[in-house]
Amino acid sequence: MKKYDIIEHTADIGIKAYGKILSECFENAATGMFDIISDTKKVKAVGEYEISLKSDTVEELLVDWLSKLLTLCDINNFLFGKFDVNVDEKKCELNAKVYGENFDSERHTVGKEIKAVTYHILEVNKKQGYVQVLFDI
Amino acid sequence: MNWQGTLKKIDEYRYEIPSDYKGEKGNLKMRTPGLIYASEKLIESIRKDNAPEQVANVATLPGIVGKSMAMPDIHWGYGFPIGGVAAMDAETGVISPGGVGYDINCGVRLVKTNLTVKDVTPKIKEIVDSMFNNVPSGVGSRGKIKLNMNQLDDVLENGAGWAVNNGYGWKEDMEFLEENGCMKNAEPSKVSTFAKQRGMPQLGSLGGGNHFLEIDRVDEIYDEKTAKVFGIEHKDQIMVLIHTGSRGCGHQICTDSLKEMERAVKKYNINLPDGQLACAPVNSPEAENYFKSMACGANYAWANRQMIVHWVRESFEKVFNRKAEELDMHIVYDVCHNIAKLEEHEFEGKKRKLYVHRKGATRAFPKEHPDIPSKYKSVGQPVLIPGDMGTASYVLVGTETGMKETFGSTCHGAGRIMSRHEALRRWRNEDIKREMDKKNIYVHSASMKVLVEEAPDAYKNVDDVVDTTHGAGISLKVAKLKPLGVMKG
Repeated sequence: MKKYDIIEHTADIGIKAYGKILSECFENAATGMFDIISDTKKVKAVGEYEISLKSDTVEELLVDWLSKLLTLCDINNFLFGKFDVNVDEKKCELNAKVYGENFDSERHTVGKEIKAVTYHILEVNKKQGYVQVLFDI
Repeated sequence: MNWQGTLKKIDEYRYEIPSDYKGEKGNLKMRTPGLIYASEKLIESIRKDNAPEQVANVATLPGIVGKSMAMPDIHWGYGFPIGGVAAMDAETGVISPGGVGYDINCGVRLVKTNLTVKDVTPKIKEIVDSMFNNVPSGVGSRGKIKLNMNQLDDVLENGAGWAVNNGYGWKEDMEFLEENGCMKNAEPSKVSTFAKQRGMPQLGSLGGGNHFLEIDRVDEIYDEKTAKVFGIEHKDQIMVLIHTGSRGCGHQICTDSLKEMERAVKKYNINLPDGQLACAPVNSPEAENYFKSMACGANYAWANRQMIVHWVRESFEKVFNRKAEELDMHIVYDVCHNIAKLEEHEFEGKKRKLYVHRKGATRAFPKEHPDIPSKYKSVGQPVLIPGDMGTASYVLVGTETGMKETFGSTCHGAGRIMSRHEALRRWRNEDIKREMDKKNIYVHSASMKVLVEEAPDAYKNVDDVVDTTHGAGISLKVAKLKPLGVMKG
């Protein structure tokens, strides 16, 4: 099954990420985001990071999840390539283990600079098995 | 799909969205008309991306004073369109981070020199390459210095002043920056640790995407008197243009604020046609906190551009073996094009205090305004309009007409018309390089792809945008600059 599709946009870029369950959609959204920033296939799982989040809605949880990854990536110059996510829809909570390494200009591709995760076209569709989000670049 | 709403042509440069327009969903309650500055040539492309709907949406915000406006470089954004200008009453209005943008104080700085095309053409590759080596750039670019949290707080509080006090640039630079390079209401305690942590390693870097350093020559002078006052003496004079913003720090401040605003909308029962117009009443703690942290983001950007100017001067010193002072590398001006300001304006005969939101729009104050440098009071405030990589940039001046109609605001640049993917499909790196070579523009870019993504044809024609604001009288053309060399991240 395809992990995600890129959504084209005049000034920015979006992702439609698929999965049988929401947790999988969230994982694939993260993969999509880091494929825009770099190329997850070239990112080794050298270090591990734990993330726990709680939001008011599951849509906000998606934004918070991707924003958190973006922040960590920017602060520490990390790239993440592998994501193990558990989303509790009822509690609007997320627990995840993410794997990655320091950015290495010799091995990692330089993609686009994502400034932020926006609320535009934000969608969490459990029934049809996808989530959708747009990034400001 | 094209926007189907009503656009009433007022004159050659003004189109109105009537306040009884009910919006695409049929239930919009506009408090005031929308006003789009555009020529007939531009209006067709403006309908293409639904941005006019956003102009109508902004017109529903409580406390809006005057019309919901958009400049001719209008295109779709988050909540507010890019090119959007809206003023909110300082007592009854709202403040909206979407009316500022993620890249707080993305802006432009123009530096003059006493060099000419003859001096620079034989050395253009050397200068651009020197700047490339001296100024960190590119996606996720990190600065050359390591700041600790206290120093970062100092940057957020003092903006360009921090940079000058730490040896970047000259004290006299500050007079020629919007707000003298520092918004005094900044409060670093209102900025999250995350935003500070993102800011710390990135101070003194250009970033990627559409940010750039450009070496320009004066191609045409439209208003000799004003140009001379600005320090633009003659054709073929060399100038340097810097375009960058607040990096990850500003982006995080906006992200953090939007989360707060989402809650505020529910708390204060604000009815919005688009969730991304998330806002809070001006006197609420949420709005006050945003305004104080936005000022911090703005100050970060001014400090950033100040450091970059210093390194640009160093690059020129290295190549020409003369001091920057000798090369007369003074700052002409520095403008923000993503910001909200508390300003006093006259509206319907009364003096009003207003929060003017300019998102992808530039302040353009007229002559005698107290907030512009004394040197420029006889003519008005310089407005710097970066074009795309291959065409031209402009220097404009603010006018009384603009002050009355748009609260002293005008356009900010060209505006994209094509997605980056579309650009990558249409052109290859070699195509763009060839086009630049034909125009004798030397480009040094960190990434092959960004050259194509930022191709001139992916943008509106900046000449059309600037001709419109000139024709409408909200800002007037002073000079046209054409690039000789471009450095991109």
